[in-house]
Amino acid sequence: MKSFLLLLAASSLPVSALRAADEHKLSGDNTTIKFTGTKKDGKHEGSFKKLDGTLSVDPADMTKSKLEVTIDIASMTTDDAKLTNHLKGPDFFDAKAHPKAKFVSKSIRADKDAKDKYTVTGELTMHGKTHPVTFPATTATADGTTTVSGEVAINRNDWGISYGKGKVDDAVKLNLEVKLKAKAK
Amino acid sequence: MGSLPPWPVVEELLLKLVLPAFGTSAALFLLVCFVTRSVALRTMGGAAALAAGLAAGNYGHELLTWWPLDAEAFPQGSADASAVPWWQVARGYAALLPATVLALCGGAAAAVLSPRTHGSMGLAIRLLTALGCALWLSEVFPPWSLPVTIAVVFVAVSLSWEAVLQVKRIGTGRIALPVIAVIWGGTAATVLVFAHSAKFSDLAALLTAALFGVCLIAMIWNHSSGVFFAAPSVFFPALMLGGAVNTFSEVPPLAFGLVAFAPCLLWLVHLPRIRRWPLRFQAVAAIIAVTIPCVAALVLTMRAESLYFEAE
Repeated sequence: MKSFLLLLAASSLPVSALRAADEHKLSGDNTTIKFTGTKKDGKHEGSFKKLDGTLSVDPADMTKSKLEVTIDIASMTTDDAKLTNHLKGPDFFDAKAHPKAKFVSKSIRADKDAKDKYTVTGELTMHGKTHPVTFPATTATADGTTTVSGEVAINRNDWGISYGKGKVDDAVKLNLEVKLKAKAK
Repeated sequence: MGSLPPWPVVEELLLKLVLPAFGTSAALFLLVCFVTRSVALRTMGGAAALAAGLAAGNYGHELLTWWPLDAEAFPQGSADASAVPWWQVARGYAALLPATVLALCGGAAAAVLSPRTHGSMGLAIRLLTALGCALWLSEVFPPWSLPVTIAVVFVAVSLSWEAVLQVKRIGTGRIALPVIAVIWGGTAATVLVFAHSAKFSDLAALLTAALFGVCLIAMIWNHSSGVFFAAPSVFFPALMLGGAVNTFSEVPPLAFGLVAFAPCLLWLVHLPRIRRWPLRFQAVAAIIAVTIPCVAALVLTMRAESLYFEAE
């Protein structure tokens, strides 16, 4: 999830805010990845505190930009400590067996009709399985900081996280926000 | 947050897991008992019925796959199973089902061959099977190294298996063993659900239901059920190790260990003083011997953790 949020961030970086071939280090300090799981009578929100990765932006050709993000699953937190332990366990993420999730971008396309909007495509590896993910991303720049944000819903069954089928919804919403300071020329 | 399991959760567990596992193993073993009088065939048929019970319960819940491939063998996290050779099978709790079938095969073979070899061949087969299962199912449990963990699992499996067979041999097993199966499995399921893993808890319930099915028919048909304890002797120590390693909770490792080693206290029934008791009292002593570590594990677990079902 984190990885694809990062990808989202990468895709939405405005070319003007970044130098050619800028490489930005991503961490829990500048990147927030949240998820929302829903069920019939409620929902829970969580996030990942530890992640690392890089975002390489090629202003001349955004399609050559690249994002790689690795998320530490055990750094997950939610609005309930016992729920966090349940999610990290074998019923869901199985964090001991699959401690990392990784997103690697494959393509970033600019939206022809809207400025600062992109479509990011990549592969998300999680719970030992890899599946393609595509999501829209937007960027906004203010006070020298470029904020990349995006949202996507994934089907947890695609990654073999199928416990609680029928009680917990299959779709999990992911939100990404990356704040990058533009480097001085 | 310390709520009890809601009825719909219990109902689904009963209908989709416990009843199919129990019904299938009991019905198939009953059929085998009707069809043949051969002790050897009934032994092998009962082991097959237990495995079928596991398959029936697992089918409704899809807890584990029957031949899990090693996740690290997949190229770049690919989900394409055809890219991985069949022999690159997963280790650890993921392999519980095939390892349990291996244990049942070893147990049945040992039971069939033992009378012809004065038990020595049977003992050798059981020890080899226990070693193979320990190698297959063990996962690193810090601060122990993998070899130490394998040795501990091997000791737990071997001691439990042999202790149960000794109880059967002295004649107390017919009634005691089905009760021991429920106490052991019920405790494992409880500790694991307190450790916030409904999946592991369901696995414990699955084996308990299938085992109780064949034990019940064995009790009614006056057939030994000791051979079927090859399954829990391998399954429960490995499952508790998997629970200790893979779950996130305040449940102390000792609680998992007490459940894994619970049947080892059955050796107390062989104390000369207890051996002089009437068989029914020896059976009660055997049940109490297993109950003591199970109760201790439950106390440790419930003092450290509370149940969580709200999220589901």
